[in-house]
Amino acid sequence: MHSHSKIYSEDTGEGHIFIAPWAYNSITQGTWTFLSSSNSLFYFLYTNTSAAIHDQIDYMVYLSKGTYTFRSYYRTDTDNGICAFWLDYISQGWIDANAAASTMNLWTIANIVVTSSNLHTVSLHLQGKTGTQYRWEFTHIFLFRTA
Amino acid sequence: MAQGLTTYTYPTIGEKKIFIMGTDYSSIDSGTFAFTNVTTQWFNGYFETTTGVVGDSINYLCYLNAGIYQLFVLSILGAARGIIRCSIDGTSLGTYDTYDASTRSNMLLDYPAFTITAPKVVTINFYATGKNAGSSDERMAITYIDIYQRGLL
Repeated sequence: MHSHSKIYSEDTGEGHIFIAPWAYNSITQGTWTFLSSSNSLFYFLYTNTSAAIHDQIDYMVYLSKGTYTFRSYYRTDTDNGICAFWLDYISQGWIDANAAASTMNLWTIANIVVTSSNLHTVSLHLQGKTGTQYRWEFTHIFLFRTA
Repeated sequence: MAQGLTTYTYPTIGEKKIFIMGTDYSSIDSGTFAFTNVTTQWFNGYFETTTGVVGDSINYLCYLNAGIYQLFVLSILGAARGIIRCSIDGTSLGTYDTYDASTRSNMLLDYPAFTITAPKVVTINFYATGKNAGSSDERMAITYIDIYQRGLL
């Protein structure tokens, strides 16, 4: 073995993964920016002001193989749309944020299976609407391993 | 081995610093938890029990490699705050009395170090065990949990 080699176990985990909304890898579509919100966690929400179908923001994250739960805090409103959570461009689930009342909610998708320890792309993708626009407003994303 | 070079071998690979927002729980056993906006607190507030009683309990799942860890909680002290126990996989790290006659924002609760002997998903639990005689309630508040690895096995 080379004296400065590093041996990485297959069982290396990722603790508890916090993804700040502005820490994106790429924006596939839309204009994503801060929205000041004085009573929110972090004092703001992150939103797509473009509010168009297929607006999408992508984050790159290293995930060890395992089973994960995805969660995100989002806000409902009459102009908020249907958002899907993608792992490596495959939808893992979606939620409709259209509601008459503007409230913060917790979105959960459990039992997401990651089959390889690698860099992965996770995305938020506006896929539809039942309200007036394809808007999305959220504070952050987090993932944690359950197995 | 050349001086200054380090060889890392299993199971010393770990996530040396882990940050968990109080809002980012995995499950709630008991109690009503909600985000409370307080502008004097880091990140604009904390996740708390809105009506604190003995037995309020919240869990966070976290994958940890083998090692020795230290855990901090950024919380707030006040006249309605309780005594909060932190456990890792059911083993108590100890309790912290978060009562203070005056509200004190951004207080770090420094729990004793703990050891993880093999890589695994652990459950970090916070539980309201009671309250100080001077306190009016058993509320608990968590802005964030900070875990760092302070030693290797």
